[in-house]
Amino acid sequence: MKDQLKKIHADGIEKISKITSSPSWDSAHLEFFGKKEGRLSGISKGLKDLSVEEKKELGSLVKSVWSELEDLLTRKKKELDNKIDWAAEKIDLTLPGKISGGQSLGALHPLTQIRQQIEDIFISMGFMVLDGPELESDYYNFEALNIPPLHPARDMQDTMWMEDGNLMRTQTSAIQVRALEKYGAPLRAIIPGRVFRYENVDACHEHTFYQIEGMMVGKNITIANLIAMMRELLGGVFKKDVKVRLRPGYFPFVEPGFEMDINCLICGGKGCSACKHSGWLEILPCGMIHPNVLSAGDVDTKEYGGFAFALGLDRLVMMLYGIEDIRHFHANDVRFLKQF
Amino acid sequence: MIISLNWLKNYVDIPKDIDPSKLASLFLLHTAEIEKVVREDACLDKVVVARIERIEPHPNADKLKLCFVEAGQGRPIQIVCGASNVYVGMWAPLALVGARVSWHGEKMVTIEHSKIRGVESEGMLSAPEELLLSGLFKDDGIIDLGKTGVPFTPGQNFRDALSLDDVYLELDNKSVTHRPDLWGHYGLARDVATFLGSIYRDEAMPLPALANDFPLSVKVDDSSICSRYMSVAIDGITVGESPWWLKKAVMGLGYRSINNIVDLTNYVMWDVGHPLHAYDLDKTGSGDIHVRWAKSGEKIVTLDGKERELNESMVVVATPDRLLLLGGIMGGKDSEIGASTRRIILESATFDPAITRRTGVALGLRTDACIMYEKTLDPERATRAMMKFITLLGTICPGARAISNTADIYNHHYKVDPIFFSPEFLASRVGIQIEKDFILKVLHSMGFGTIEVTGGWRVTVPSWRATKDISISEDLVEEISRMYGYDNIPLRFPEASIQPPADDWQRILLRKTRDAFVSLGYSEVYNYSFCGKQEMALGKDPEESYLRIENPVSKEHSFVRRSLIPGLIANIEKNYRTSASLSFFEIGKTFIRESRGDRTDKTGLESLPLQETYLGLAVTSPENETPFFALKGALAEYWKSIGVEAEYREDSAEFVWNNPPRTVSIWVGGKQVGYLSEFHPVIARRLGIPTRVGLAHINMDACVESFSRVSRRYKAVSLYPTVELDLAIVVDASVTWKQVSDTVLASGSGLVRDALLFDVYSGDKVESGKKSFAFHVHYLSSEKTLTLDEAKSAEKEILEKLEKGLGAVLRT
Repeated sequence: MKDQLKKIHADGIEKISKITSSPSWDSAHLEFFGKKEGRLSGISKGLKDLSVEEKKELGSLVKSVWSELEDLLTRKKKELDNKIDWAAEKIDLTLPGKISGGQSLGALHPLTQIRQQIEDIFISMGFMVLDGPELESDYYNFEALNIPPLHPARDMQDTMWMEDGNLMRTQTSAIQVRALEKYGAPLRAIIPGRVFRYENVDACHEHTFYQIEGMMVGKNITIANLIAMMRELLGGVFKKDVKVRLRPGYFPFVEPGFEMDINCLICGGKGCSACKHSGWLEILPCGMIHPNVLSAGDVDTKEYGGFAFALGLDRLVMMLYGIEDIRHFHANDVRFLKQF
Repeated sequence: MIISLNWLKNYVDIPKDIDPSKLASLFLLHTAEIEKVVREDACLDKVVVARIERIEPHPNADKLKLCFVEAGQGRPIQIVCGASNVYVGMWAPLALVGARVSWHGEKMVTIEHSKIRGVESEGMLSAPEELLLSGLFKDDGIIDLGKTGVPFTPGQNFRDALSLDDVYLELDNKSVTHRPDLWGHYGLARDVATFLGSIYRDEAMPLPALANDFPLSVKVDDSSICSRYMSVAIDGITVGESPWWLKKAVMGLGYRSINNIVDLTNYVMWDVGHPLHAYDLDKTGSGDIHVRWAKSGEKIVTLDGKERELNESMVVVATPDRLLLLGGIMGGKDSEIGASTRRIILESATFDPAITRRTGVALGLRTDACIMYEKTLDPERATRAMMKFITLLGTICPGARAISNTADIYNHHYKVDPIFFSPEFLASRVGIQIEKDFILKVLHSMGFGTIEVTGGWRVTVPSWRATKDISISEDLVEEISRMYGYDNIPLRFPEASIQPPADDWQRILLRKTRDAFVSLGYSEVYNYSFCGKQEMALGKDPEESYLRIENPVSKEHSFVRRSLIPGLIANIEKNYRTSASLSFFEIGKTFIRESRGDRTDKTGLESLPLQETYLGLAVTSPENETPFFALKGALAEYWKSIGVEAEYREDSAEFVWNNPPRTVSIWVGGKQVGYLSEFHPVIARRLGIPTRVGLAHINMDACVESFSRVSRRYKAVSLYPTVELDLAIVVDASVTWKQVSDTVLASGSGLVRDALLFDVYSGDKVESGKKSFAFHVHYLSSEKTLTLDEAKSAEKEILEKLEKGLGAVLRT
């Protein structure tokens, strides 16, 4: 038995030293320490058949071989645990990724994305975001905005009329008076929405397009306030300080009325086809709300005044992303939608 | 409209050295929008007047000629020329070596000494387009200066000889619809004087002397036809070519030169800013002028030669037996000024803007006069127009004299009450203090009168600003601040209460909805609010229920939509060839005629149609025969993300677009909010869509209340682990999953946490008419760790119940 033990000891040391992988560790462990057929386990079991003196001699030998081999195996295991075959770790990292457990992202429409960005700028300044009917009454779309019947301004916006005398709203300003009636003054709100004009559709014109109207009514609201807010808006939209100029413009629902231009983003002001060689892009009609409009909203014009502005969302998005044709927005081609 | 700088200089001093672009810029910043600046002399450096002395054929080219021209250089110079309209004695502009001319309107080239087909040419006889003077000269070939009637000397500077030193500013008409006073140089010059700080020369002119040789009588039927009607008869007219200054002035504005009388009426119209008309007196039939409503069906042949049929909403100027003029629009051909005209009736009338506009639009005849009248002109200008015409006529037809009294029917004076204005009021609107002196300077320069009162001034409004532009103090704020310069106003952020606005649940819900579906792989589409017969055919609502547009952009867009579904189907139809897997969502409004929406005005007596916001969903992919579940799965994630519980009820409603056996109605907060279904397979086939499409339509507004009430509560995570055991049972094909899971959850001694289905099978391995469900069951106790045996005994109970209640058999 002693010889057996010596052999086991020698075999064990050799075999264990040759272990390079987890399966070979498992088989070595099984060979020597396996419950049923392990060689050392077998010897250990065989001890009970020996005499007392033999037991004493072999017993401690078995113990020492056992602990030595066990120790070696444990160390080998640690070694294996820390071992890495680096060559096998190499993979082609340029292969495309694969999402597990989900779908790849869809996309928000680019008009929604920019609209939300602009909404957030105003929400951070305490503005409400309001909505209103797309099919409006003549009263809220024109009359309440200081555009009486037969006013030439009705011409400038070719209106789509419904059979019942209502119309598809031509501007989001239509909601201004509704908002004033509902919330009163002071009030600050933006009103994004879809508007409609009778237009033939081409690369630059649509019958269905988007505006973001804004208004701020309060005490002591001045032109200086309007200029500050408009620059803030444009700076937020273009994410940099933009050069602007403010000049007279006429709209029946504001007095004074202005056009705010920005320095052409494409040529930097030198002049190009995009800005018709003027160096400026017309971008933001705005003005101080006409007292008649405030009165239509039951606001006391002696106490309150305000400003309003309207941003053309489609044009802005086209400028920001370099989209060349307005028809993409309603064509809903996946190849377009998925780019944003 | 086109503004001539030289013309403006008749009324205001403009510094000689001012760059026209700078002037245009000042105009734009203080008054109105200038779109283009055109220098008349862009190509006139080194261009002289030459006279052709001799013409010889070109030795080497049939189509070319050798012209020997006298150009003040001591000897005639030799020019090769290809034009066919040259003749000996012709005066023409000659571009000398070094001149820069336009080549085919594309680029500028410099004239050089050159040989053309072997013969030297020392310059270029010029055509209109080469000198960028096509507006002034219409010659087919070389410009024939003989037509100008101006005397020349050879070698004279061409530019100076014809005063071609003007600069034209193109003004955007849309930016001056509210300023009738700016529709003429006389009025424009005042604004220019104010922003330049120059003097405005407002000349007075004499009225014609009274005369009574011709019986002129005017009757205006209705004071609403025109605010003023003036006319006078004039003798001593000789119709002929206009003098060069007049020709150039009207051609510079884009008119053709017709004859001295007609040109003069056009000139005065754009000088004073008030239209005029001249009739050949001897073709009017009588001096009894009747300004009246047209009779229905009455006809007039207008100056353009076309016959127009009129109606009773239009106005005419007539004599007892014939029509002379279509009020506000155009004169009649019968009384046209011609070569034989000796006497005229000059009419200066301020026709009503609304009537004129209506007439112009109805007949498609919005002439320059019509467009001007629409702006609501100041009837005071009628006198000025007449006086200006007569004064200038004196220089053109020296023998002209009035032979009748001046008829003047003044129906309506535009007057505005004086406006109280103060520097404090101005400061409160602008945001900075503007000096009193500046305010007064601007007001006076613009023609306002000021009377000092306590705290400010009483400002009187001049007639030309009183027709519609200025009536309230805010109008004066604009007047002062625009002249001050908006770019001179500093920025100042407004102050307001920081109280945040009330929660807007609808907006938050829509944002979360969009975000949820984007993360679930859906892309947002924007479909039109319009629809046509094709879209309507996909729904069961009758055509009468759709709101119709009277003037749609096209037939396909004649109505407004009642559902988002047809739009989504079109999106699938359009895209499936590009990408087999598609998932779209849209958030938009629908228009329901029969339900009441927002009020139409303050009274609230009438309502607009109800316009609620809906969510539409569409999904399809090639292998998926039951996209219903794809949508149901996405919706499950969605409801979870917004914290709302939704219930589905089987509902075989038929809407045409849906697949009735695969339709459920969706219920939130006890209300029905929409439907989930699939696209009707037959219609899909007909449209060529090769895959099945899941569709859903949900009323977002109806979900807002439930969303606003969401409150999530944490459920304690169990301390003990769950035991998972799988079961596979075989049941009749008609048994639903709900029946199975309800049974499972209700049994198992209360230890069943959940049952998660992972397979449904009906194929070879099970009996026909049967199917198998395979599912995980999770067992959990709240008091201790369950042993496998305990779980198994609960499982036994489940199997018994399934067997008893649903005839289920364990699958082998």
